[in-house]
Amino acid sequence: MRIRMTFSKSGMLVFTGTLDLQTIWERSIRRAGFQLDYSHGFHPQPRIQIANPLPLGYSGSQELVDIWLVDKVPIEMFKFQLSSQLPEGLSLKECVYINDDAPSIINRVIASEYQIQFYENSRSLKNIEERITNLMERTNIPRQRRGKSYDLRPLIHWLNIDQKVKGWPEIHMRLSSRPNATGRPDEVMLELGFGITDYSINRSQLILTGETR
Amino acid sequence: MMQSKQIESFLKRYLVSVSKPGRYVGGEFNQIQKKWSDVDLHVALAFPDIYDIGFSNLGLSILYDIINRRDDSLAERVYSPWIDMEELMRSHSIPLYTLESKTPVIMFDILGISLPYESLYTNLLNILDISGIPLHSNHRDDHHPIVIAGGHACFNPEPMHAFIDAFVIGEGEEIIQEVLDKIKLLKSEHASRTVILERLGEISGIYIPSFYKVRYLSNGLIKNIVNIHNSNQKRIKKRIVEELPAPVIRNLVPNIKTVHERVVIEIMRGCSRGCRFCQAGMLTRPVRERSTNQIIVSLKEAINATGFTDISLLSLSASDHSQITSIIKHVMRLCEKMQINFSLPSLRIESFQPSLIKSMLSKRKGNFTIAPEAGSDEMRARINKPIPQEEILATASQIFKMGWTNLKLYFMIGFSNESTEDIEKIIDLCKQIKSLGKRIVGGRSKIHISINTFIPKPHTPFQWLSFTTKEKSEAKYQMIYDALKKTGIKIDWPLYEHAQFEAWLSRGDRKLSSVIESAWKKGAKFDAWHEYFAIDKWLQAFKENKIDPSFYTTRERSVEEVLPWDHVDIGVSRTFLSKELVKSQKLETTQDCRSVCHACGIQSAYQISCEKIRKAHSCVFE
Repeated sequence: MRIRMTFSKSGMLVFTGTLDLQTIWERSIRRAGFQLDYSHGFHPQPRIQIANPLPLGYSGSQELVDIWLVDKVPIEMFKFQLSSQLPEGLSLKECVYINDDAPSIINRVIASEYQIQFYENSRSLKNIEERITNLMERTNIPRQRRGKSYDLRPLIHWLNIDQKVKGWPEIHMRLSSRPNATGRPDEVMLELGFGITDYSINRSQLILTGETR
Repeated sequence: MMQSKQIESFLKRYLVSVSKPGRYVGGEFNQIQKKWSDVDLHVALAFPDIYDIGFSNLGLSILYDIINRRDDSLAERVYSPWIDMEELMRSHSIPLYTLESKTPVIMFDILGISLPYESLYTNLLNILDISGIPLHSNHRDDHHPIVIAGGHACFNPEPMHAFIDAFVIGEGEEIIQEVLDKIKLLKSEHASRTVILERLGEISGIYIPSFYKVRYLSNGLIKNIVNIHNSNQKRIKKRIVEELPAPVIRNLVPNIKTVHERVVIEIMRGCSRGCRFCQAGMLTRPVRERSTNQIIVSLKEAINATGFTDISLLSLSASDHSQITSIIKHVMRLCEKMQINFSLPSLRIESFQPSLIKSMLSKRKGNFTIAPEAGSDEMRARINKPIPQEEILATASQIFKMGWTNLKLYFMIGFSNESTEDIEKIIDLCKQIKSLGKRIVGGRSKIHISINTFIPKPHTPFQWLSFTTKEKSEAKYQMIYDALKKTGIKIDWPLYEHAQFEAWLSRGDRKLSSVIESAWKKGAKFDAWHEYFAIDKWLQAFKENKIDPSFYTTRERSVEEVLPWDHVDIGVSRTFLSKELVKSQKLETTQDCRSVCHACGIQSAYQISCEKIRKAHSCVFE
């Protein structure tokens, strides 16, 4: 029985990585009294598929994960019972049964949208706007990550700044999240002149194939 | 004063720049967080190593559970920050804080620190320092937390006497209530720190080091240790609980990977074997068992409360539990039903029926461990672990026959009176086991031996013996290595210096406080981590304080000598220990005390019957 769950990850749980999150799902589901299905083979693993890893330190408001249960249980009961077993910072938004032969969630993710908030109002709106315009006008942005060269520019679908009525400007962007073509928002921020301790990142949405916005 | 909110925003912003940031945030499932103003007493419980190591510490989880069950108290956790985090905290002037509410440790009423082993001493100083608490007990004032330490290392509290306000000697389950009651009352009366310590000192099992004076002879030996506060109280008697309380069920479930993630149930405390080198065996007397019923029920509840898929049964010698056959049978059944993996670390295979061992075989076979400790029957008689050679070999062949391929063997070297022949017997035994393995399971068989250097520990019959020298120890290792290098046997050999360091600190007196402080000032920390342990810093620290380190190690002590830990009373008499030493020299063994009482002193010290106290009240389970 395959269930697709939409969840948010926030608070201090942003410092738990994807591998550990997998274990958290496994244990929470056990505690809630449901039996996860296991993969076949030499090292049977519980069948949990996180759509796209959320980098350490990022919060996510619409993350996706598929899990497989041995038995079919009423979905509302499942959601209710599992919710009571989750650690602080993890929250279930939606649970739905989906077809077992539906395509893998991992392969359907094409892009991610991020919201970036600053800890300090160190630069003016105008200054950031200018930097964004300059960056977006470039035809390529050669960068290196873990010793590999790549071009960041085609991975940026869009990038803009949002001045809240009250408060500091927020940067919004949509970056490619395909295998071997994943844009990292922190790399974009570096190009704009900000280091990792200058801002917080929330992934507001995962964009799947067949969806447009 | 830095507030929780400020610490929280610091964490949110800067934790991305350190390794494994999940160590520093708490929020685990089953964590208990109370409102600060709802309770009278605030206890910070510290394990002086990183989160990954300290998280599963059983002692602290018991105290965490007990304290948080009280309506008037809260307990929160704290661990040592790793090097990168310490730097970050210091550079932002962030004091050490508890994981639950991010409250600075310095704001708590009590800082309780677990000290199970000596290599955590410098980390403890570091914890005090990052918290902003003065290192020295006598520099603290009424606003500072009362610093209390407990755990096995505290059975010789002297090396840490300058830094700890009060030591708990013995088991914590009952005394913690008395300590909390007393501090709560005194706090409501706005009692001063001095008064609080005075009154804590009245509780049996509490040692206030500042109330004792140690006088030395001109040769550096101790003349006497006197209580300058209350001449009636000469020794501090260890606390025991007559019946083991129910195990903790709602264990915390970590959000990041830690060293041991499993349900641990202590099935038995204490050991009746009486191995003469074994400190734990002497310290944890008398033997107390948990009932099969309680073990199984607790396991089931803890599995449901945590979602863990591994369980472990803890004890010094599991197969000596009177109900072990029934326990294993029920645990196996439970594991099968709940899809759980099971490990039993302290097995004496000779007391097992093959059918039971067979039922324990899992698909993925791990190591099987045997600890002969010594190579010759003679040496095993000296240390009172008299398993005959034939029995060890029979056990090994049984293990191979049942399908295990990896066998791990534990040995110790460095006993006094150890001859070349004793070392040859170790080599010989390993070779014989290796060829057994080859014959029974073939080329897949792997033998792994671990050789430790014997440390004469306080409160054991060997406490008067000397610790071996580097030359002797290395010559013996070389001999074993040369003889076994072509056999394919893997040999583990911990650094002599690390054992030496442990010997200094476990056998030391009050003068070591200044050495520990000097070493810490030179940057010694994480001494339990071999990659961070730096013997140079320690040697310099001894030099600076004009102390000869060999005074604590390679010197044999006379039974007349006043030992630094003599005022700590573990209930086992000094007479018994010295008789055991003499028997050891005469190659006489002492039987398991379940068969005959050797009057070690524990029964009269606590007015108990070992026979009665051992068996748990309800043993029926079906």
